Amino acid sequence: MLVRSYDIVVIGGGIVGTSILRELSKYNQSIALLEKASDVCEGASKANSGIIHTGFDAKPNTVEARLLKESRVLWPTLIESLRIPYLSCGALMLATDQKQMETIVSDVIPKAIENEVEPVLVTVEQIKEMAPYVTDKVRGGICITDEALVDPFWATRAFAELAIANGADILLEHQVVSIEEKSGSLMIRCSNGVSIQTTWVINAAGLWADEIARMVGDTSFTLMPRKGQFVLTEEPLGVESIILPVPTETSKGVLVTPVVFGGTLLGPTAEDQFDKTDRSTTRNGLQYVLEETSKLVPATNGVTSIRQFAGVRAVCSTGDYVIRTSDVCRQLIHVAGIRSTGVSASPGIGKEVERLLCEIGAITSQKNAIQFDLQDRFTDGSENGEIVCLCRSITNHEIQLVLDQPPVPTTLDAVKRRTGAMLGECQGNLCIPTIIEMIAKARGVPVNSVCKHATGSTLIVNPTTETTHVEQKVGDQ
Amino acid sequence: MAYDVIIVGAGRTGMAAANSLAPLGIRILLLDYDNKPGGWNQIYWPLVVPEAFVTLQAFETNLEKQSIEFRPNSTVVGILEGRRSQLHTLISRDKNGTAEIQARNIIFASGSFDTPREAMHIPGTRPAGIMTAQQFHRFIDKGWIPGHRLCVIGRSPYLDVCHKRAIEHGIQIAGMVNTESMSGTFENIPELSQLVGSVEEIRGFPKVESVLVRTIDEKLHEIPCDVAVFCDRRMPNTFYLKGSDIRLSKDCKTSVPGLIAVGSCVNGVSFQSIDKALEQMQIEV
Repeated sequence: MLVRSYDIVVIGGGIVGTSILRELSKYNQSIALLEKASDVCEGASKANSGIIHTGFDAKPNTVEARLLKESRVLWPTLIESLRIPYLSCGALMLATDQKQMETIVSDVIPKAIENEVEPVLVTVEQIKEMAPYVTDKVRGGICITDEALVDPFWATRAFAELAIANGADILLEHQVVSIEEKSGSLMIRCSNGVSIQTTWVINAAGLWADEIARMVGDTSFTLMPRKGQFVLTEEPLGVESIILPVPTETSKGVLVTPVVFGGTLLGPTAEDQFDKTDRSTTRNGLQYVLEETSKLVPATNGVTSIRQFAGVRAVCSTGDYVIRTSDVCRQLIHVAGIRSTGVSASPGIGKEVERLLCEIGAITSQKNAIQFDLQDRFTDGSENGEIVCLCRSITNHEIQLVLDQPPVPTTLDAVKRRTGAMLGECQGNLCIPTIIEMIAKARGVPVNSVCKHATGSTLIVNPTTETTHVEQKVGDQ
Repeated sequence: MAYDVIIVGAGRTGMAAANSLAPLGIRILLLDYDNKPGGWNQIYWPLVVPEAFVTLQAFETNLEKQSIEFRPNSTVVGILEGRRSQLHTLISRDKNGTAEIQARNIIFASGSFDTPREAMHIPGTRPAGIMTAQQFHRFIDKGWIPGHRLCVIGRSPYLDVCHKRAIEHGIQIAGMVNTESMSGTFENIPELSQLVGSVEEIRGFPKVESVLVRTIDEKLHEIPCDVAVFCDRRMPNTFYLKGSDIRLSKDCKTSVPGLIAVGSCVNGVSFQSIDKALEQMQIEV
């Protein structure tokens, strides 16, 4: 049995887990992140609107509201030092009738002010000036200028890369199956047979954080999955701001948001379900998204889409973030129930966990040399390379660059999210075979072992004879 | 020195255009994404356009005679239209980087793609094993078998070719879904798995497990499979026009003098009379 040992282990490689890892990697303690999927950002972190919320609509005096506020201050430095693609686009909340206007005045604005965000009331004329594409039925609204967008995958990958640069380990395809207390330390067993001994465990397992808690007998919170379906379009709708409906008591509603790399994202739905793994789209869901968004931006009605997808977020039984030490196991720290605000609050959550671990003495001194910046490694200034992905004009040189960068991409989707290849209208129609070959060569594996995303999602079923690369790899070692 | 004509795409249409222009003794350049002339649809030629082989042969002869210049692995990524009878500039990308090439006339003959599942807004999961016919054929060309049980969704004659190649490579046909009307039945598969209808949902994860089909009589049929191939509609391959104001129209003209578009890159319509289109160019010999 293979046993590895760390001072601190983070479970979960979403934006929350990697943000925590990034903060903790500054310390002298040895640290690793365990992720069950084959890449970071495979859960709720990859399928959302990518908004950095100001937290103007958060429930005041919650942990969520406090950390959203703290994150507002932290994001600009992170965006700059980690080179995270960012769009400072602001948001417009639109009222289409008098009742909604009253909700804005009586509910939304006071809450925003309590959260220390100052929304600006805007007239119909001002809205039409700022956003000529919105509905003629608009009766007024507010502008929240500090709402912004990032690429959530890029942010997660950048957090992970910086943590690795500071000495943290990221162990992919390590699904935790049990946690046992054993003479003062915790023994984590993974489904791949690896065991990890550690002093502290941070539970940032997203939707599955309640199941991690139950491994030590902690039943203090329960997470329910809520599906959100999205429609991505590249039709020129002209949308330059985040367009929000007025929230109802049950839902924040369906939004229209620009996308950092171009296009417009419509969604999400909010569908409670029982299956945490169900990320399928439905005809009704997609229809609902288009119906709702066309009430705000009429041109979204009947729009053609280049991709539809669904994410599943965690709804917590406590109604707020759960960031605290487990009452059952004092060496386990929960970071759970992060709802739909994980991307926005991730910098603050990282800081919160850092403070908590300082308090309990899990982290002590910082390293002498800490890296804070990332280089732009998606281009090396070279103009070399043939086009592989036609619809996005991505070259084999650009793909080759990311194939060597930790966390190393091993699947088609991992390459897609790092380079943009296969992301356009033709969805990899021509370039997928070439990219399969490039991944296989970089990893020294046969092409039939390359997966689309999850374990088992292979694309070729027959034995292939690509042994030359394997031999070469063995020879290198 | 500028070219008289640059042709974007060395498929059947681009080659035919080049062959028509070759006797004029003008400077002609063809650019293509692929490493050889012929285009992505050669697999369909025997069934659909056997005369295309003659076009390819004539093209190769013209290459030998050096009356046409051909650059493989060169992808056009952008175009700058020449204003007021200036030369047009194509931006092409190959292994050495980006190049700007100038021409008096440009012929867009860049063909079309199979429309992927996403563009058809088909609900369900996103498993491995969902692909277009063009991708299926590229897999087969490399000796890669994408699955054991295949469901093909689309129109004739593309359906027929996918069916034939699958059988040749030992892939079992799980279902044939004709999105138009049925043009005869296929051999080696039970008639029950030949349906006329549309796909309602994709099921399974991490690999496709079944395709749910709604037939024209509104009945639902679940076809178990581990690979599903779409060859239903085409979308024009004109990504290099993104960000430009150039618009293509079905009469082969564009919104800019000296630029014409032929073949299936024009709104996905099929092959057109090249010679008629070429009349619209002003070539000074």
